[in-house]
Amino acid sequence: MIEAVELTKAFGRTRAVDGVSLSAGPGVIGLLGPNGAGKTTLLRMAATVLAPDAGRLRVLGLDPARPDERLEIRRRLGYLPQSPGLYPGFTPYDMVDYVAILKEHSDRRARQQEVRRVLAAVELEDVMHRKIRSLSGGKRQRVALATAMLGNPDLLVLDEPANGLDPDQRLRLRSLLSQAPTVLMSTHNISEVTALCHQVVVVFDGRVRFAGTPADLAGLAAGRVWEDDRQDPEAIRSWLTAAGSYRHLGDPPTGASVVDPTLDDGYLLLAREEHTG
Amino acid sequence: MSAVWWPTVRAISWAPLAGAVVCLLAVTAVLSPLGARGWPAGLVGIGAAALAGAQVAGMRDPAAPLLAAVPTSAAVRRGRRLVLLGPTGLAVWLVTAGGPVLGLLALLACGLATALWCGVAAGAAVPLAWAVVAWSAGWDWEVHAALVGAAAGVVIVLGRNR
Repeated sequence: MIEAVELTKAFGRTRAVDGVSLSAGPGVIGLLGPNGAGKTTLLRMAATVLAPDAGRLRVLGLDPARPDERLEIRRRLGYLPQSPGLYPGFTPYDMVDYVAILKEHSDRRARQQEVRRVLAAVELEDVMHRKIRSLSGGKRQRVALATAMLGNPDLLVLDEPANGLDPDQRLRLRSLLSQAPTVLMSTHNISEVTALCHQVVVVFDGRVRFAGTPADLAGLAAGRVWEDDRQDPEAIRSWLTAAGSYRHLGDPPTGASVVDPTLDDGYLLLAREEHTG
Repeated sequence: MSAVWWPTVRAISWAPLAGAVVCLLAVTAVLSPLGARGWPAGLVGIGAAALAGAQVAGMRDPAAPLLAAVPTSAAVRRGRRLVLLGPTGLAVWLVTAGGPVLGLLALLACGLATALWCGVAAGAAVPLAWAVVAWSAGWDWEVHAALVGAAAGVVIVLGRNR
């Protein structure tokens, strides 16, 4: 679905994406990384919004650099940017309908049905005729999400889709995304990656530092996580858990009680190694 | 009326243009009882700049990031906005100041060209900045309007896909 080879994109002197190669097939692919790592730039390129400076990119088997193929990609794509602006004077129905028109849903009756379907999917039927300016941030995010889901796209490119959603809506989002053919999404929420993603890509400073399954990422910290009732100054990271014990990451001392690593542990270890070079 | 036009009308922020129209009408209302024949030359430039700047400001699309990957290109969406904003501004201009159309169009083109490359805020400011500079320096605000408009048109065409 998405094939990237040595993708590079710079803004002035800053290389936001620096030689990224990745292959993303069907399923949900999660992009993890700190703020400014290049996730949004990568997603914008995958969504045909931004052209790479160098490298080769194919989306849905098509080349976004060619205008005719870019148009075809856009017909089969749903995109949710990190800060999706909406028209405050529109209702959710009006907004989604307008985007449907721009997505070439020309048959009025079919379009109306599709608009109602996606609004129902994000559970906004009860407020679909209220002005967007009167809706909460979470509901606005769901309006934007509904626009991305119009027409059951083959590929969903979502930049932090769970932003502002309450726990109930996050679960709903998981259910929706698990039904989509291919989803490429960025997130800071590791529990989302654990629950949803078939593949996880970790990006630091514009470069891919890890690509594999969530279990592989957690596995990076295998044998390097232990728990104790005291803080350990030798550990790379230590934090107090809800159970009242300390969880440590690093090289465990002799006799330490090593525990199974989680995705957080794998990510934190990778981040630490990246930070210390 | 095609389905796209009414939502486009609603998506446009008409407030800047409405503000400019109120100002132009107010000036016209003040000048009429004084028996003035048209607007004073210096004021015509400022009025045209205010109107052109307001039209450019109306091009701002808060939903542009959300619409960045839809099949209908940004150029087409901008064109539709311009089809609505341009004639409206022109009609207001003819009814109020009745000033030179070419000068207004040149200012609008300069604003649009700047907006494409530097953002709508900068684009809206350009006509006003030019009019103020021309007025302060005593220059003719619509000097070489056709040439300036054509050059700005080229810049617009070059940046149409931005």
